[in-house]
Amino acid sequence: MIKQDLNALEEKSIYIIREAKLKFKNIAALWSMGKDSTTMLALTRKAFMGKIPFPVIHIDNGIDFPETYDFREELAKKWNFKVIVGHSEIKPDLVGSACCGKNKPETLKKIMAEYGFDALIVSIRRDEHGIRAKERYMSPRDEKFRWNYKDQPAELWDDYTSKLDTKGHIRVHPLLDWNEIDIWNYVKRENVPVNSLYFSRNGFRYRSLGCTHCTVAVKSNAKNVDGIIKELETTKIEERSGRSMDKENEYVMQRLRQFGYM
Amino acid sequence: MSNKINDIADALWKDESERNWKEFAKTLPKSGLRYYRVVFLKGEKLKKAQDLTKSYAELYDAKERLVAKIPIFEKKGKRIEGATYYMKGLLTINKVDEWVK
Repeated sequence: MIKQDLNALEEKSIYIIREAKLKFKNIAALWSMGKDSTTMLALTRKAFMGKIPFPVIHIDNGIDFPETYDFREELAKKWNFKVIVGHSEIKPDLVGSACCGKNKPETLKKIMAEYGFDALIVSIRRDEHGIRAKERYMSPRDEKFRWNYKDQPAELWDDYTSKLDTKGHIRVHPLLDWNEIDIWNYVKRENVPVNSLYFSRNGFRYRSLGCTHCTVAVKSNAKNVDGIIKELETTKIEERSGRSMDKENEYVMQRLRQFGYM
Repeated sequence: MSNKINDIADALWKDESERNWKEFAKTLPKSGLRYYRVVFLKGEKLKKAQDLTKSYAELYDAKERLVAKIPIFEKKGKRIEGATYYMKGLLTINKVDEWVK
C-alpha cells in the first residue's frame, strides 16, 4: 500500500473543507462513526480552531453495532458537535441490501429537505472502490440525488464547483486522495479517537464498518493502531472484503451511487 | 443477577416494546454481561424489517459464558425497528468461528 505525505494530504483536505464552509450557506457532514469520517471530523476541528461548525448526520438503520452507538455519543460529547440522527427503514430494496441500498439515501433526502442543506461532506476515498474513484472533490447531485458520473465538472487549479443549475446539492469529498494506510497513520499522528471495533479481539477485527448485518470481521491480530499499520503494509486483501457482496459488486455500487448512496 | 436479565429477556420475547427495551438498557450496566453476538439466519438476506424477527442476539458474561438470548428489534405500533442501540456498553464477541462468513 502506497504511503503518502500526511502534511500534504492534511493541507488539501483542510483547504477543501474550508472552501466548502465558505462557499455554501448550509452545510452538513455525514458521519458513520468509521475511521474515515472520524478523521474528517478531526480535520474539520483543525480547520476551524477546534470546532465543528456544522451539524453531523448519522443515518441509523437500527442495527448498527452497540460499540458504534457508544462511540457516537462519547465523541459528540467530547468534541461538542451536533448530531442529527436519521432513522432509516429496513424495507425491500431492488438495488442493494434492505438495510442500506436505496433506503439510506431516502432518509438522507428527508433530512436534507427538512434542514435545507445545500452541501454535504462525505468521507469517501478513491482507493476504496472503483466507482468512488470517479468522484470529484465537489460533486453535484440533482434534486433527486442522482449523480451523472458521465458529465462531471473539471476541477482545474483547485477551482471547485459551488453552483448548481438544479435544486440539488453538492457532495464534498475532502478525503478522496487518502489511502487506508494514510488514514491510520494520521489517526496515529494526531491521536484521533476511533471505534473499538477496529482492534482485534480473539483473532478477529473489523476493517471496514457497516451495520451488524452486512459487516463481517476479518482475521487479524492487530490490537492497536501500530498493529493495524504494520498489517496494512503487507496485506493484499481488499479493505471492503468484509462488507456484503450484494452492495460491493461494481455494477450494484455504481447504480447505488447514481441513486444517491453515500 | 443473571436471573433478572433472564426475566427481562423473557419479557422482551413476549413484548418487544420500548418500555421493555428501556428496562433492559437500565439493567445492563450492573448485569455482569460483557459481550454480545448478533445472529442472523445463515444464508438469509435481510429483505424487510420483518426478517429481524428471525434473528437474535446472544449475551455473554465476562467469562464468555452464554447468559441469555434476546431479540434485536423493537415494535413501534405496527412497525418493526432494529434495537441494537439498547445493547450499548457490550462488546462484540469474536469467539465463534461460524460467525465469520
